[in-house]
Amino acid sequence: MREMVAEILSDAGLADDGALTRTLESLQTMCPAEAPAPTGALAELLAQGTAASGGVAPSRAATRAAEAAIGKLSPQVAPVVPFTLRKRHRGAAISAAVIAGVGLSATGVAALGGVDYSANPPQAGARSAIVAPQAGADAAAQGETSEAPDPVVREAQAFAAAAGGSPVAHADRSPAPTSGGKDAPASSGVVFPSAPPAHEAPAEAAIAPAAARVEDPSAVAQDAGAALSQRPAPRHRAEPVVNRGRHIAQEAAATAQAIAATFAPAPESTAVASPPVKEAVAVASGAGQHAASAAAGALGQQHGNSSGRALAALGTRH
Amino acid sequence: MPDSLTDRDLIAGVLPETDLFARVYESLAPAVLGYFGARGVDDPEALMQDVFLSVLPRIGEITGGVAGLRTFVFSVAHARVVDYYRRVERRPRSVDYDPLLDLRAVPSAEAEALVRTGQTDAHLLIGALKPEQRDVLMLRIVGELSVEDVASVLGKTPGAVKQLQRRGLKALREIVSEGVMAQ
Repeated sequence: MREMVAEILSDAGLADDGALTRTLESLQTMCPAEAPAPTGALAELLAQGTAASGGVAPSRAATRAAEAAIGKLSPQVAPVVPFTLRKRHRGAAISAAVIAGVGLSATGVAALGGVDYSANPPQAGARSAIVAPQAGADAAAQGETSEAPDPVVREAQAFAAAAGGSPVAHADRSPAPTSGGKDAPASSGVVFPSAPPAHEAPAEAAIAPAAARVEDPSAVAQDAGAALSQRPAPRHRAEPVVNRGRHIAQEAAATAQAIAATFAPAPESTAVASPPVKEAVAVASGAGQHAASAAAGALGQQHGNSSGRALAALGTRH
Repeated sequence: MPDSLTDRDLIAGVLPETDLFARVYESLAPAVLGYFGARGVDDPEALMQDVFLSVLPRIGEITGGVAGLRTFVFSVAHARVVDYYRRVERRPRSVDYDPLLDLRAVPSAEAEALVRTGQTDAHLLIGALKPEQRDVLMLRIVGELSVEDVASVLGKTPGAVKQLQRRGLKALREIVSEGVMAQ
């Protein structure tokens, strides 16, 4: 032990430190001079060898520790077959794949962000129409004078005046004026339906008198059918989805009212047609255009009148 | 003591098995017991006997002569100490207070006097070191292992072992010098 202490101190450059030398040598006092007498299983093992120790086994922890130490101390044999190129550069390959994936993702996001959504006129128009009133209100609040509306805005105002109660018309009817200043470019790409939006008001105008002339159901049905057939094919892309749904609901409700007004006072048809008519009205009022058209079609087939055919045509169009 | 065991003794067939076992036990048991005592194990003798129960039947698998046997024995001993502390930390004992079981202690006046005069208590000194520094110094001095063997036992690099040894010596020197200065 003295040699080991001297070696340690010389390695550390403290060979001349007598106090430290004595301190390290005092560590020897922690070891007993002789090994304690073995007891139990160890005594049996030392006395009789491994042949007699079959029934005595060390603890599982000691066995595991011994196996681990044997495995750790066994000579390490270098692999005969060196790593292949792929294994050797596996980390670099994974890093390159990750970087490429991140790059592609960022590129894709950038590409998607660069899409000109103004190419979709209806949505852009709806957005500009919604934004315009707010900006106009802000401008009015600030006391700024707005410039004259551009042609697109004038067209929107005309559309609004013709459409009446349409939500889009409400939006466009608002002080378009707002287009002045910063909001002008936003509405520059607005495109509205080229066909006059008269299909809303004429439809109601044609159905309302028909409801009044309850004494002539066939005439009412003809008027409604004519009014609906004259309507230009709706450009669904030109209307926001919400507004289109609202139009369909309005049409269904008006048609149902017309049918109710048509069939209710007729004494000869009330006895037979009242239940189906009520059912059709209820369905049309509540469930929407498809249900209304189906009910109306069934009604038309049952009674063979022109109002049923008109409703069926209306249903197929929507 | 260890010098009674030679590489020739470990060659198969030179000594009878029982004699080989007894010689190995007598040579290495004191050092293992001292190592366990320095680590503060509750029952060092039981743990030491468990180590030899698992080591002796495997002597035939060991290579490297006496140095390899020492490394193997202290590897098992170190693993058992680690297991012991893991078990103790995982399942702390909860017993009623007994003054005889209270191991908390402060250095006595005699111990302090010994420190001040340079005649230090080994347990007191080695207990002031960090656990890893204590392991390295005990395996180097008590186990008489080389730096490479200590690195193998502790699972560290030889450079790390040298660094721990250097820091342990520095800490011991500071403790001793403080005692001298106090004197």
